[in-house]
Amino acid sequence: MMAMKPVVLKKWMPAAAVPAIIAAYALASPLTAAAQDLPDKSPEQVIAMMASSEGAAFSGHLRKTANLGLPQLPGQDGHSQPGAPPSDAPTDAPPEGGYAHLAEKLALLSGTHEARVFSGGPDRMRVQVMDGTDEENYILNGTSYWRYSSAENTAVHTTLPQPPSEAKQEAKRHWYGESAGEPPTPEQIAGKLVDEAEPSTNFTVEEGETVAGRAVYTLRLTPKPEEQTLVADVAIGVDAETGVPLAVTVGAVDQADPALDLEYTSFTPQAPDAALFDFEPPAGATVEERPAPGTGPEDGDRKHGCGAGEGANGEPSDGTAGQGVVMDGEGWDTVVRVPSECVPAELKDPALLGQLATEVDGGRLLHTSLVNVLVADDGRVFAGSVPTERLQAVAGQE
Amino acid sequence: MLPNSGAPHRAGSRGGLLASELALVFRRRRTWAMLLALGAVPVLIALAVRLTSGPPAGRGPAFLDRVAGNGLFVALVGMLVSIPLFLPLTVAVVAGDTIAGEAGNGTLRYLLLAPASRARLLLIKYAAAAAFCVAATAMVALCGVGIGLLLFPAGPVALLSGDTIPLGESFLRLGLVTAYAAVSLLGLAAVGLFVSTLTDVPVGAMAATAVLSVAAQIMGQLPQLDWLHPWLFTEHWMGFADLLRQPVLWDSFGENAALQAGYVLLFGGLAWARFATKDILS
Repeated sequence: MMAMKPVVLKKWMPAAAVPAIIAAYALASPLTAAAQDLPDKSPEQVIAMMASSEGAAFSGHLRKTANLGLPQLPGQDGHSQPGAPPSDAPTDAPPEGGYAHLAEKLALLSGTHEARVFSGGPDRMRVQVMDGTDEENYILNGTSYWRYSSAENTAVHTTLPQPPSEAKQEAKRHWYGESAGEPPTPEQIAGKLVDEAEPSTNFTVEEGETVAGRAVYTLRLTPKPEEQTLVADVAIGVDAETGVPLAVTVGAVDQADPALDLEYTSFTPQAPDAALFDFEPPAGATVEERPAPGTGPEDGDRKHGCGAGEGANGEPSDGTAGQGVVMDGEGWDTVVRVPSECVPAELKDPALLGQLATEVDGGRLLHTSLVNVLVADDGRVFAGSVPTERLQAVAGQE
Repeated sequence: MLPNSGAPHRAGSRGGLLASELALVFRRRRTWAMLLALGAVPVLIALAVRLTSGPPAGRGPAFLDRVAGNGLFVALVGMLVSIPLFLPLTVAVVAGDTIAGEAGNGTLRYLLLAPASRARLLLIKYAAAAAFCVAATAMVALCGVGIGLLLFPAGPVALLSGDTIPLGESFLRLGLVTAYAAVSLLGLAAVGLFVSTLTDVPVGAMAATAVLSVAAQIMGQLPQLDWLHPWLFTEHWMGFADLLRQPVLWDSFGENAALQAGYVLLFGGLAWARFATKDILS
């Protein structure tokens, strides 16, 4: 019996070894991601790398984590549980008063979502947003654009007037101030971008970080101190080898966790199987043909005077915005002003506003850590990544 | 204490012991009753869809709205419905019975008189429980395919990504889903084996194992326990949907297999430690 004790202890060793090995592995693995020594690059060079990587072929697994402090809507499930039965909201109107559509959009904005991204070169792209046993597919192949939702088994097809890469080249030329000829080079684009943003933004480049196991240049955009904004900084992880942006993290001024974090968890710079981009909707799916935005008569009519100008920050207004939506200010404290008649009806629903917004001077405020939206008493809407006071100031100007 | 020697045994004794253990499990009327109950799940689903007009798209469990158009989906819905409760329940009964059942019957000490080490006995008991995991999931899949082909048309299958694959590949995917479900249950079987070494009352071990599987799933639903989720053996149970994407997303299969292997090693080790030092009184 004297020898029992050590024997007994020894018996439990294998069981104790398993957690020990797992713990050792978990502790050691971050250390193995060796920091590569990258050649120094200026912010312009990193932006140029990004610009020239457009249309690169790759496949990757993307994860989005949002921490926007969004208010919860009734019937909205924080984040969707894997395996939970698919939300039965979409098709017929739920009794709660028609927020389902909006709730779904908000649900997409908050929490963690995963997607697979396949890029087969310019104008060939497939994004699969995965949600438990559902999947949402967006497939672009030349001028053909499909959207397929497995939850509803519906497919929507749109034929674009021209391949998006051409449209993008044209937009770039237009933006760079050349009406014809060669599109601006990545270096020119980078130079102009930095020049334009310089008054409001500090650019820095850091090395030594890895995303999806690949060495990246971290391009950090920090608003200048005098900018009134909710954004603390924007960090873009640019793959040192291909120039593809692998991570985007947006920090908010008043919270420690990033408000928005988009990051590839795996990335392969090789062209995926070309068959992935030839999409045929499955038999039995509801297929809808939809005109490209801006070309259909219905579409143009409905949005008359209310188009464009969605970017709440960064992108300066380029004059193409309709008369309805107006940008106020420039740089980080830009405020988007939407006249009452252009505001979607569901946003004006007083019951919904009661749920989401808080009462402030001059209207109701929908607050998130990155964006504030002020619905003024007269129905106009002001939005921007700015503090409430700035929205109220803009609202009070007229 | 009985000697725990690894003395050489007559050739084929391992195969013989395993065969007799498998025969013990699969000759039980209880085992067949459980397998039949599992087989009834897809049959009931298929009949319900056949006899009614079928659910509208987006209602009920995933894939249910596809059943009427393609019989193969019966097997998938059956699997989806069985994974949270029916499958773990039957596995808990088999795994909880492994050691405690013998102890309860008073046959354990006779088993240990045979020239086989306790570790080997444990291994064989676990292998039989694992074989039941495979049989149980295969039962759901086979009954689902059988009734589905009987009542509904079969044809190319539309995956979650919207791509359509031919019938032959569909069977392959279904086989993968079945394998995924069987692997998912291995961790639970190991937990059951360990619990079974703690008691001489088989019903207690079965109930405790079943309760653990439900408790793990409930904890998996609580956002406050986010940090714990990756370590729950139930975490990837529903991840088989990733095998129905195009191209196949293998991540969850790999993560699930690694997690289950961890559970098998940990609880196998605990079971061995407990069983090897246990005084067998019955």
